[in-house]
Amino acid sequence: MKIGDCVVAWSKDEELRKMGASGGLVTSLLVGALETELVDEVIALRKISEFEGVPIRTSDTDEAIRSAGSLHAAPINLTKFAVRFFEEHPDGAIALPVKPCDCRGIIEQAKRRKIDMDRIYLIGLNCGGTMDPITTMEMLEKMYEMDPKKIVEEEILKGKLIFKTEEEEKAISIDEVEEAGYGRRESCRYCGINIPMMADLACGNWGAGEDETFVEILTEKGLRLMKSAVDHGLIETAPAPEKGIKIREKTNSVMENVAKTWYEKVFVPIEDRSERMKYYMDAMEDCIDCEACKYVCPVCSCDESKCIGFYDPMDSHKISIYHLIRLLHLADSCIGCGQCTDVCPAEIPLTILHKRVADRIQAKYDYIPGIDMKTPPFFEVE
Amino acid sequence: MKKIVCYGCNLGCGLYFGDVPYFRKNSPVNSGKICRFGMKIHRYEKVLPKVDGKNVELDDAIAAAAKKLADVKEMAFVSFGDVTCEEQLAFNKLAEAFESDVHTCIPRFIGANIEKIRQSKEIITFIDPYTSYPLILRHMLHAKKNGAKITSYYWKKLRIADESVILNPAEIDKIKSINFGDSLVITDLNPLNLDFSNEIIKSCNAENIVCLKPFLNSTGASLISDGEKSIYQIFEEIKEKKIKGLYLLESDLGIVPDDTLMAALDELEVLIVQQSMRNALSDRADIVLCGDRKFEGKGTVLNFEGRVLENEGGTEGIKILTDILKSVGEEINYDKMHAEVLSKLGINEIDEYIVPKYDIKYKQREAEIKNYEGDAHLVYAYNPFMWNNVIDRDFVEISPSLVESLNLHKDELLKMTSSKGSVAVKYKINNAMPDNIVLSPMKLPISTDIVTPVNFKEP
Ligand SMILES: Cc1cc2nc3c(=O)[nH]c(=O)nc-3n(C[C@H](O)[C@H](O)[C@H](O)COP(=O)(O)OP(=O)(O)OC[C@H]3O[C@@H](n4cnc5c(N)ncnc54)[C@H](O)[C@@H]3O)c2cc1C
Ligand code: SF4
Ligand code: SF4
Ligand code: SF4
Ligand code: SF4
Repeated sequence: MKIGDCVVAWSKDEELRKMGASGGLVTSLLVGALETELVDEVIALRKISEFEGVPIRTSDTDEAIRSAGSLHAAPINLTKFAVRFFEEHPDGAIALPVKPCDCRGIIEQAKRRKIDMDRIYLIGLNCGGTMDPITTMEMLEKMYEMDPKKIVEEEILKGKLIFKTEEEEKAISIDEVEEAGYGRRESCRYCGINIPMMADLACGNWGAGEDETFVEILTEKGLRLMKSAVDHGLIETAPAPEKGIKIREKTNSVMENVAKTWYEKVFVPIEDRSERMKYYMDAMEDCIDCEACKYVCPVCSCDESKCIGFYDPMDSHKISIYHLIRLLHLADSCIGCGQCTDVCPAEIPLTILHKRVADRIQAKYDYIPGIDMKTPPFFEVE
Repeated sequence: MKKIVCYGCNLGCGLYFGDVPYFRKNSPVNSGKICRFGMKIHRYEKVLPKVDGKNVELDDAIAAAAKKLADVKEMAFVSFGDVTCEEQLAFNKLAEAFESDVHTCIPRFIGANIEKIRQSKEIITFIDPYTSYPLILRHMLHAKKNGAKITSYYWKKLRIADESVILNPAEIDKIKSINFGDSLVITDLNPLNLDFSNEIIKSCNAENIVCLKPFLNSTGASLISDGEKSIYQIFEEIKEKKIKGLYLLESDLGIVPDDTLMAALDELEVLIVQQSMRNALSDRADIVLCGDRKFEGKGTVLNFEGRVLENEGGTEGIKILTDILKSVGEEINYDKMHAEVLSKLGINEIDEYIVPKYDIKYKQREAEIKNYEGDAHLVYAYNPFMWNNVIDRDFVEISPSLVESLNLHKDELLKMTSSKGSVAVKYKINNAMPDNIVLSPMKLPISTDIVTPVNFKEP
């Protein structure tokens, strides 16, 4: 194995192989990283139900094993959990599974010295999107006529969203459920990065056979993770078949096109400047100042937040200074992860508002946040 | 991280708590979203056990409480419902052991649920969802997006309303003439406005009323406990010496706008408080018993819809009650309480995704809604911080023309005088405010009621 290789791999533990989303490779890597003391802790999502995953940080391998499997209806970004690890253990090391948006958040935090890239192992997961759990349960009742409590498995196959209970299996095309307002979160529909090429490994089921994971080895750290798991007898690997490589490439490009179409649909330009201003003022006026959008934002990193510090609730402006500062701060770093929209109690479409500003700025500076360690343009303002 | 329910109001917002709050996105009421209060639930100073002003071990405070309960007759027991059903039930047992009831100060009522708001075509609201019960806002916005017409009756214009009718304190009884038709009505039941909500509940079909409440488990507590005294009746009876001792479970009587009422507590032979937060009440109590923080009690919670929710946590509060009950020879424990709660609710297990059916008769109040005298009024804008005695916003809201007519300059304070005296406070100008109202998110020393007649002359 070497950097740049594509392999298929799976857990040697039969039970874990079945428990995992596609072969239990990622969980085996987490276990291997703990057992070989590459890391002090790992982060994963503990499954409570098909619609609930609780982020955990642990050094216990059993606990890591219990969190095998993919949760598509647990739209949680793990960046801030990694930040907290480094706050508590500045010299520690950690490994975690990362969707592209987790990985991008982590890289942006590393640029802001909140995360040490040499001590974090990023096991990338390909990502076709996550769903809001409550809306998904509603969709199951209304469109699938299935009881959400009975769901035992869920998967995406050939453009269809499939749910299974012990007794039955139903599939509806993703286009159809999304037209009806269900399916993936809005930000996932237009998210253009499906394979986390900025992580240490890119793992996924695209191009892999039954109960195996397709892995692209991307960095020295990624290679270390794979090798130590092999040496430790935890995983088995084989070269990825040509056919698998092609399927993965093709599926990725189909998904990229779907994302582009959604992007154009959502981000219809508002050409008129005063209309644009009106649109922002109107959208933000429902804000109830909870600050959740800042708290959850994976790229936001001030110790003493300017957005909160400068904001005076006695101000009567329609857009508060809080939002103006955030729009400015995030212009070069927003990764469009959707977390802010998800947590907003006033249902303000914050991700769209931020991306409308950020995309222009990022294009102007030819800068894409979270894909490499390039300095953010605003850091270079003199 | 534990799965908990926010105690800021009775909406039942679910979240996780490790050492800070985190979003529990599959929570049915709030999809994990929480308001400014929810984001700060953990920021409070814990109280320490105390007897007669001195810090003691908890066991000694428990022993002192048991002794006082045995000595002082005419004890009253109050729990607004900032505890789980299990703890409320344990408190009932304690009250029963001393031949008394537990008063929640909020009558029993369960009306319409969230789904009904979302499906509504016409909504009449008496609350400000941006301030009072913030996580209800998103459901109202959903209805509005689907074409619902929203009319508000409130102290200021509300942005969400298509039509805002400004309430005038001098003519509050005009709400009697509102034609509710089939509209969905959103109001609240809280210890300070019982006559107001009574008027609304009387005039509508119960199935059309969404009735919000201010404390973690107001609904559960009101189903479990039978006491019917209002907060004002309790003060009255203390003054009349009908109540000689008071045991308050996570219930701060200091929420009453008129803080001179609190002086009545000095008449008591004993004031026992069992709570977790240090505040003015714990400072003045004879015996302080400290339980789990409000969001840390293990057990069952009912939100305003009657939805049954689970709170993960400890049983410190129940343990205190268990220890006191031991002194009168009664044996209880968490498991017994939990089984009894489920059986009272008529369920076998907790399922947060369904709203059980209840058959509850609301008991109408005798009192009539009253108008307030005067031309200008100070009004409370209820919010979760207020119920928890935390000053989160230290200014009032007034209209631009009031600012102009008083010739106030930017950094000047607004001076107000009521029958109780004068204050000077910071103000924010808000176009949505009428000229005769000062809206305050915090308690001011000059207030006499939720609406206080004031004038702006120098005293
Ligand atoms: C939301 C999501 C969407 C995906 N979409 C695709 C796709 O379109 N194409 C593709 O090829 N592969 C996709 N994957 C990856 C794929 O499902 C498998 O995770 C991957 O093949 C590794 O399988 P495994 O058996 O080795 O992982 P496992 O051993 O099962 O380990 C998976 C790890 O991921 C963690 N995890 C579970 N859910 C999440 C989550 N929501 N966010 C962060 N971490 C999580 C688990 O806690 C566990 O540690 C997706 C994964 C997720 C989580
Ligand atoms: S934003 Fe992109 S990477 Fe993140 S969950 Fe959605 S699709 Fe996956
Ligand atoms: S602003 Fe919103 S979408 Fe952008 S990175 Fe932050 S949380 Fe994600
Ligand atoms: S999450 Fe929504 S309500 Fe809260 S501060 Fe952000 S925009 Fe305002
Ligand atoms: S205070 Fe009420 S609305 Fe706010 S998070 Fe808590 S329960 Fe929800």
